[in-house]
Amino acid sequence: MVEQKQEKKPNNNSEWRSERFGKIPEYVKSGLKDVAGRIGEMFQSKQESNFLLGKMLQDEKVKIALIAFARTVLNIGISVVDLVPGIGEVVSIGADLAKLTSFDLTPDVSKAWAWGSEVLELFTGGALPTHAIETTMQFVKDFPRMKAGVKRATEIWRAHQATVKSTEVQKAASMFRTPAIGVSNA
Amino acid sequence: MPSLEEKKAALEVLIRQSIQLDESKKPELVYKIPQMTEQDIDTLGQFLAMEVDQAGQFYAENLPKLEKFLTEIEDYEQKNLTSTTNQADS
Repeated sequence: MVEQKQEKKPNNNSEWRSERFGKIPEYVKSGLKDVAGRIGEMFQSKQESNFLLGKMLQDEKVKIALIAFARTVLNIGISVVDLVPGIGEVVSIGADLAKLTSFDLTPDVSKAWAWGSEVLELFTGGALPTHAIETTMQFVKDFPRMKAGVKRATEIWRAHQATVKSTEVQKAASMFRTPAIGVSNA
Repeated sequence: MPSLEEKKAALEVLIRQSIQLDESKKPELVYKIPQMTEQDIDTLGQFLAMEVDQAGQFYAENLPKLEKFLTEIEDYEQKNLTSTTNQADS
């Protein structure tokens, strides 16, 4: 279900890594938590509107995007817990071990990277949130999926809104709105 | 006051646009319209008209949020990820 694409790395490997490390704090602190919160807000909307969200979820791109969102939120959570020496390692290593199961939160990150990053913990006494490395690498892969899904969801909603607002549908609906209901002589 | 025939035609329009009804069952439902009583037509019509109203309200409320979200995602990508991500729009 999840698209597998090869990421293009810049020629200089260390530059590529430092670029990612540099992005971690900003994205953990700002963007995504807020963004995920807003998506959640939409999903908490009125019960009777759930079918409209359900329709959107039938689309493969939207579904992939939501999986990517959920994965990112969980990875951020693990990265934050990973800041705490001790319990952080347990959670982070747990997430790495999950790579052996179907509950892999970083499917686009190789086992070598995931498990190899844990070695860094040894040199920092567990203070380094190593799961953030995998979170960031996965996020870079997931971001285009999220964007494509949100774009598709917007298209679906716009198209249905246009249908619902069309004269034909409005005219049809008006015949059944309470004042129009009655016994006809036809 | 709409005639029964007008209501039947209107019901067909509402059935076809509905997203609550199963797509595979729509043709069968449309086929059954001529055999429906006026009361059944009114009941189903009212239900689907309510769906139209709720959908209108839902989109008016949530579509701008989704559009804003998309703009923010694009801005974020522009500022932070342009050099490292591949586009997945296709």
